[in-house]
Amino acid sequence: MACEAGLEMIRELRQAQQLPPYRAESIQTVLVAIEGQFRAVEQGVLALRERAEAGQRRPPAYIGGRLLIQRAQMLREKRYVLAYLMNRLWRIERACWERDASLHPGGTAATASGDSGRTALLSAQEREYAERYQALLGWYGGAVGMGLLEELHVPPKDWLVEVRVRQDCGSVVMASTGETVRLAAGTMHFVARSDVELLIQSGKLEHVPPSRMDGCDR
Amino acid sequence: MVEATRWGREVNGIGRREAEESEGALCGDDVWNGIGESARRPADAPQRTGSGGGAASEVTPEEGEGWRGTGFTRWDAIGEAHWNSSPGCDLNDQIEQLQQAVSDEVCAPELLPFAERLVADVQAVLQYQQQQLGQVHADTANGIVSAIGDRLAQHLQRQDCMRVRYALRNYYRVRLWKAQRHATHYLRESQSDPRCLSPLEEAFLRRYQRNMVHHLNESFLKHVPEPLRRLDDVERNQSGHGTELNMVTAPDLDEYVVARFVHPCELDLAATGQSLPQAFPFRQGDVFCLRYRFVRDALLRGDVELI
Repeated sequence: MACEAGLEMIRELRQAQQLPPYRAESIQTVLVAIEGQFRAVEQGVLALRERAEAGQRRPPAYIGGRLLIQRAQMLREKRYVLAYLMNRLWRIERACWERDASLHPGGTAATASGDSGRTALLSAQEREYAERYQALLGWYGGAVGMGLLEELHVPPKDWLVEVRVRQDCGSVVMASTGETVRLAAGTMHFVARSDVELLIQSGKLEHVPPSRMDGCDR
Repeated sequence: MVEATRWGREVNGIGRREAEESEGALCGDDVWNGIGESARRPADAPQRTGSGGGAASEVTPEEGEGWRGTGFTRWDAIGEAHWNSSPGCDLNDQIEQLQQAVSDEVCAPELLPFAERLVADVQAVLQYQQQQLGQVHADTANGIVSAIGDRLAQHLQRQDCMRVRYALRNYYRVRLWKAQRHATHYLRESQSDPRCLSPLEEAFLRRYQRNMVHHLNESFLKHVPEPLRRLDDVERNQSGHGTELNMVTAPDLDEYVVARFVHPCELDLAATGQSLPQAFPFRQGDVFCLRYRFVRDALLRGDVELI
């Protein structure tokens, strides 16, 4: 039955911790089933109408009931696919907020398609949606005058933070001071948090929290 | 007159209240509590005068004194005209209102009316403070070195700006997240109630909805028969007699929230099904856990805060 393909997609999405690959073949299966059911309902309704116009005896109730069930099944399968697509969109949006590299537009995993025939993580439409959504967030942040993706989880404690460079980032211009700082791997710097937050979130820099002084109450 | 940010309010509010309530000296730790954890280090503790903060009103502010009993007046306001003013300037309660607005927005299941005036005022204050800090930075670059106390003041002022900006950013974010979940519903609501969304939020939601509809059409709907391409279907009796499945979802107003009553008021709780009077009185300070539907109107009036 076509309902199983739709249910399988929903189950896989619910159980997966991370976003599973896009199931284009399952969606195609459901589409074929919906098309078949729609034609059947259409023909059934047409037959009933012709029968009524010809003045024939009213058909048994189960015929109308069968059409209603087929219609309900068709709409249910449509909702399966829409729920699947919407849930994937919500996960993509969350990845955009958290700058998740695995789903980020342009990330290697997002467009992975190995030689073994493994399907891509995101479909072409989803990649396009992620880029548009990211642009929309950037537009809104610019319109309200502050970037919305900064300081997502933790309220800022200090304006200046100590960071250790994990990956070489080259020379970076600090927006707050205008100075150019050479972020070589293994070095430590004392900089404004707002200047390096993106690098901290991407993992290239590591925030070194201040050491607690003895006897300091918290 | 430019009002101080919340940090300034806390320092002055604590000092002034405790000065009024007790004759004892204000403990330096109490002063620092309002500033933040990063300041609560013995090495950075303010130099207390003999009478502490309780005598703040008696101390004459002097240039470069920094923390020595003049900290209260120093932090009163940001504008230059008030650097030497005596304590008693207006405190900025809007920062606390902003934090409460964020808390209400996080706890409420539906999108609350956009606090347009509050946000505009806070943004104006932040912008002014940024200009002040920028001026200080320019002075430093030109070789004008400020006193240690001033540098510390600027550092704390910058931290305060950062935290207020975080609260404002959080307010925008939470509203966007909630609006996205029921975009169609809120766009319809905004037609009848313009306060629901700000103009920018409405523009964002329209573009968001357009992107989403385009994606669903391209991925699936354009391949299904024409009568099945709608996204606002209402299916009745599919899950039993009298049931209704609406593709355009609305927020669930029956979610439980924890409400603190700021002002005494009466709520109609007859619909709860419990044997409660139609006008159940709530006293100021009461904290109850109840369905959002019953406190919705009181929240919009300002009689209730969500915690």
